[in-house]
Amino acid sequence: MLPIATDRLRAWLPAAVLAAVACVHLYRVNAEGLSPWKGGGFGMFSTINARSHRVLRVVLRKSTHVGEATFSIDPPQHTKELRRAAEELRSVPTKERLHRYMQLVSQLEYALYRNTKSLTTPSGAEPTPRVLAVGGPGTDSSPEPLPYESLAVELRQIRFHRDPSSLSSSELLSISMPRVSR
Amino acid sequence: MTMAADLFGKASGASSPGWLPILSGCRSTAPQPDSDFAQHEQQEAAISNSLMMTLLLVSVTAPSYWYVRTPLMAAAFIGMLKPESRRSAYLWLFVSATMFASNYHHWFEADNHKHLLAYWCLAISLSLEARNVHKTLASNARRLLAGTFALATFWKLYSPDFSNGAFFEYTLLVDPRFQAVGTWLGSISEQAQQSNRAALSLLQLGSDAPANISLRTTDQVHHLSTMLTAWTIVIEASVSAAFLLPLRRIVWARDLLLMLFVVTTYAVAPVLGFAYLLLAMGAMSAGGARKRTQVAYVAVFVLVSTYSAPWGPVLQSIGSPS
Repeated sequence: MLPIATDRLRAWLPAAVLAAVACVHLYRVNAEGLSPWKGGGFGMFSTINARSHRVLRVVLRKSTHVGEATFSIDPPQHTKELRRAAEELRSVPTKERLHRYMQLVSQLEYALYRNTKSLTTPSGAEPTPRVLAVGGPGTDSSPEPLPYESLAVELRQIRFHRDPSSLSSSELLSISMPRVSR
Repeated sequence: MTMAADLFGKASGASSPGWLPILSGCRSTAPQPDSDFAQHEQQEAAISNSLMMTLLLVSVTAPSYWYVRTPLMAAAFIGMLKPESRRSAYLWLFVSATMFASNYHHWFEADNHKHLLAYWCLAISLSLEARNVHKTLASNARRLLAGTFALATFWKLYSPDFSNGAFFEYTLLVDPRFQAVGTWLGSISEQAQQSNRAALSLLQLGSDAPANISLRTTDQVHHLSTMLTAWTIVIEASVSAAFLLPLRRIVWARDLLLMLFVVTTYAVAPVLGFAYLLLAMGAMSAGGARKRTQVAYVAVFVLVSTYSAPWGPVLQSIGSPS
């Protein structure tokens, strides 16, 4: 028999666990920016402030003869660690998670791809060049190395305004650093 | 009694309500010589219905990670095939512990109904070894339902973009899951919804995107979102209050409100796993004293199953603005 003495305790324990998790959830929403949709607090369908409305981008910058060129790319999906760090950052956008994510993406090499699997182009059309992390999904063609000078990670929040109906995007967190020479 | 013996029911003294407890719970009400015995039998049927519904739910909604899905599917099939195992506290403790571990490891991804299912399986595990199994399980179901709806109501009142109607307006304009409702009741064309989704995709390009993008909407969507907001707060607060308060004479109101919530909400928001779980818990909280209520829960369970059919194109063709 499970070591719980009374029926009363057996009838209260699950609800007590629910309440405890909900308190942790409330704290994390207010202190760490956790989306109310996740974390066991039953805040689903209460806000558009969901992970899907937090946009994570990796931005590479380099100087050219006509000025600064900026390449804003989707989060690299090479490894489980990268995917998990990106999802955690979008769910709970803290500076610690941002720094950890920056550390991971700064270790990657980036390149300009002329042909990528993930691009959908009309037949016969010239595919648009795209910057991707080397070795990631959809990077089977030969790349041109991209000697970028600085790297940034940006997390933005998409918001909806009712009167009049419109969408806007604002920065939640960002970090930038020069390229680490190897 | 060893854990294994209990798990496979070799030494269990629990009564076996058969392979199809849902149907046994719906048998015609033949007069019983002993009313206590009849009530006990109905309570057993209510427990078995609820356990069977929960096992179906565990098997259907198990997380996709193989190391969670495999043990949960195995446990669910054992429980479904062997009625004695279904009444084993250790089987439910195993299911609950697996779910807690999965939710803990994937806490930023796990949906809320996965958390609720873990609590409910814990409640079943604890209740099956209580002195009064039926009463303990029913109390657990009532408290978990009350807590869930109280928290859901709290977040809807606490969140400014829900209480001002913005959440539903946005959802009707952009979310593909609500496209049929938007077209049918909000008179917004499919093209306008696609254009709104394209605007959202543009903002997902990050800092390169424009600062502000207008969405296409209609007056009907504006009014519909205000109505949906009010209805959601009222029905969720009512369900929460009904399960929190000791309603002695109108205890049936709990079941009515919960079924009304499930029938109306999940017709629009297709999260059927959550609907099934609420019904399994509702059926248990209703107890075995009212056979018609049990039948009603099973009927709603079947009705909600039909929501997964592709009704969207039918509704859109009816409501599509010319």
